[in-house]
Amino acid sequence: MSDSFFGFDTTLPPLDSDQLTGLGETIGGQKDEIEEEELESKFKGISLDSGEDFEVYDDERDFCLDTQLEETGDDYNDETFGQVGDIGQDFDYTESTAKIVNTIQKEEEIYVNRRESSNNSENVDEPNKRRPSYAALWGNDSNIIVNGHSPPLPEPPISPSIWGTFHPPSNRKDSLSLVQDGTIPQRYTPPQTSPLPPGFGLSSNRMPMTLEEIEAQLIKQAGLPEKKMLSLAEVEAAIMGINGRPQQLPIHATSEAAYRDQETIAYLEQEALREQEALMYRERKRREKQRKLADMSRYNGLMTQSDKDWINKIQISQLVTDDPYADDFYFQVYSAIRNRQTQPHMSAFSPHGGAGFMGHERRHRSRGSESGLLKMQQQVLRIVNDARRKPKLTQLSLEGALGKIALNSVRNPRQLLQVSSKHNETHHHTGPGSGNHQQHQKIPSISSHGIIDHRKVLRSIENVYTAVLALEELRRNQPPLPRPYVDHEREAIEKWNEEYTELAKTMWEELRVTEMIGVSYPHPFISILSVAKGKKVIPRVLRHCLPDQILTLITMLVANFETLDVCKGAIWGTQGVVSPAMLDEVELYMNTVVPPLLQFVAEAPMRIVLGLFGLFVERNNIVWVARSKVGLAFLTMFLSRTEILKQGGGAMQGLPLPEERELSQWQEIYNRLFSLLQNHFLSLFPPFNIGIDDMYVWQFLAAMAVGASTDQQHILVTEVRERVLDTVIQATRLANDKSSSHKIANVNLFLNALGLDASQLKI
Amino acid sequence: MTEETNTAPVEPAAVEEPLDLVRLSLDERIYVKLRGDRELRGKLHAYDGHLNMVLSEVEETITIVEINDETYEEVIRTVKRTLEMLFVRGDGVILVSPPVRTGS
Repeated sequence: MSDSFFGFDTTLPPLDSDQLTGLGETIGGQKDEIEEEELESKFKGISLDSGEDFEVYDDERDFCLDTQLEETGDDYNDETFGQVGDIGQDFDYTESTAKIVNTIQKEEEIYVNRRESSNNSENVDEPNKRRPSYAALWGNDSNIIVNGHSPPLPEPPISPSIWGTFHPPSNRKDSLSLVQDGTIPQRYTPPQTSPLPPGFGLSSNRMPMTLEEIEAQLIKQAGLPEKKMLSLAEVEAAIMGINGRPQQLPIHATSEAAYRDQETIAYLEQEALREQEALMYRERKRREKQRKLADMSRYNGLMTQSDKDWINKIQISQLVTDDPYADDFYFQVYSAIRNRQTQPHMSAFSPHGGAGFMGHERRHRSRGSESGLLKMQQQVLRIVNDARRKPKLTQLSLEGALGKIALNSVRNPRQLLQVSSKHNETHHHTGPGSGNHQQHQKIPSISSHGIIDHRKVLRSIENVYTAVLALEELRRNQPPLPRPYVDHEREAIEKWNEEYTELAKTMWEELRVTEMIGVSYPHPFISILSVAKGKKVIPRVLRHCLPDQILTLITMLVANFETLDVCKGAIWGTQGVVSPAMLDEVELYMNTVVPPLLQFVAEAPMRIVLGLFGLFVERNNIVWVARSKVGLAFLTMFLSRTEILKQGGGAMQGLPLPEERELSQWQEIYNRLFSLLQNHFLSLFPPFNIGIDDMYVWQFLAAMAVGASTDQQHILVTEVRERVLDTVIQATRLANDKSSSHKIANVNLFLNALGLDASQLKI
Repeated sequence: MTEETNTAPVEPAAVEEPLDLVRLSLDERIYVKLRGDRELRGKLHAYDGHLNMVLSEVEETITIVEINDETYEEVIRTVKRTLEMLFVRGDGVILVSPPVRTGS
């Protein structure tokens, strides 16, 4: 048609309708051959030969029904309908149809022969050409139609198996005729609706039976129970109702009349009536439901399994990711937690979407739809592998197309703005080539002119988090230990080590532990610890730190302890009340920062503990710091660790007993601490009766008491005597209360260390 | 920010693009103004480029203007409610404000 450009006459000789349809169908048929690319071609096929064939098909089937009726149905009409006198033949179209059956057959033969002679080359495709478009969709054989044209054959070769994979679009008329087929078998026996073999619904294309079909089958098998009879009568009545003659009432009236003749008890009658009504109501409901189901099932089987797979593929491919932790982090964590909690029940909640398919979730499967899910999983696996094999294209240039075609996806949405990514380069690129000097340039100092910029502190914390997350990610993807002589495994672990070290270094630098003391106030690291999220990250940071890094960190912390927010901001007494927000911060600090440090100190040798202890006492205003909970906790930590080591507890870690020099050093520090705190022991306690648990103070006093000389013990007892008595008195007043025993236990922590007990006290 | 560029031009500033400011407010209590005369105060847990946010311990304030039928006077009242955890869809966000720091 485009040849008109050259000035030729391009009008084709007129085609008759047969040729036209043939043309369209030939295209469709060829497309059908390429089964692999079927989806697109099917769409084309539909557009090419829709409509017309559809109607043809319907007509032919109806026609077929009629002739079948004539063929086998009339024999028992008398029995079924009783004697019905002489009925005029003028409306009996079936018979007149029968008369022309032979003519039709002949026509059909002529038609087929003509087609065969006209295009011999396409002989094989002949049946396909007559295939209605949607039959092509089901990929079924098309003998249906060709055979449909030869109704007088005694046994039409339309085997139920063909229908088994082919489900006609159900309409009201069909379903009703099916029901009738069940009730009055003599009337119609069209082969299409003959009883379907069991397993019909499980055929490869998964065409479900309509409810009517199932029901008809059931009725047959059940041998028409009493209850069913009524409902069928109603169906009958409904058919009559379609004809405009409502006959429901007469039917019931007669049955009721018979009932009344036998027993004239009004009560029973009413009962029966109510039953009937209920039955009718249920029946109405059922019919309504059936109608809806039929309505819905109109499009059943319109898509083949491969169509469905295709759609699934489109949907799932959006969710598939190489890196479930990055793209679906919360689900991963959630399912990990859930997995741990409810291990045995997990299978029931197997995820149906999302990246969960990727990782360990794949081994869970639901019991119910195992095969379906299995299929789904296999498909997902295939998609993932495909995606892995093909590099992610962001654009595509087709031959002959102008410009490039952008391929958008959830991961790569259409770009609307072009923003330079300078930021990313400076902050996230830590290539192996970048030297130490460069590294330091990248980390901006947190202060300018000694003044801390709060935003820079926050920025540092964010960078620490970024590094920590990357490190954790690396830890999860740690390659297995290399086997000897397997080069690529060794290379993998070397590469991994390199990346890990690099990231750990970045993290460490962002923490700013090693920055000079005294340049800025407070120290950058302390500033980081003064923010809640800075405290929270510490346990995660320490997991990636080397022991001497931890030591550096703890040294820095100890040296600058009094500038910590939780220390300077949470001192009882002078400022009066400590705000609840600060108490939360203290609690957070105790729960996040202290435990890993405590663990470190609990394994440290005497030399290191003494070093830290000494530094703590020297660098901080002890009287001040000890009044905060965190300060006291640190002191307690050092005291108890040294005490354990003194008594030979270090043997567990293979540490020798402390040397003489160390013991004297300890005594020196202890005495210094004691003399500093002397006359202030009572002030260590939080105000009495404000609901703060003072256990940590008793713990500290106990730790002090253990190491104290007799004189020192005496001083201790004298100073806190008042508090001891107050607490015990309060506890006795509160008798029976839970807090009373707790208070006594607190006091006993201290008293037991002195070899006393609260029960010995006389009040 | 001008101060930084003067003193240390080599160093990247703490805030380089608008969303950095939101990032620095992670885990802090922020103020969010929403369309429909709604305001939120809560702890920011997560956000994205659309300013979808997850907030916890949220206090929502809704301002309602009612017109008196008889006097045609505008009566302004606020309704407050607290929510433990909240997902805020970004298309309603007008303003996000980092926490106001007092002291230090």
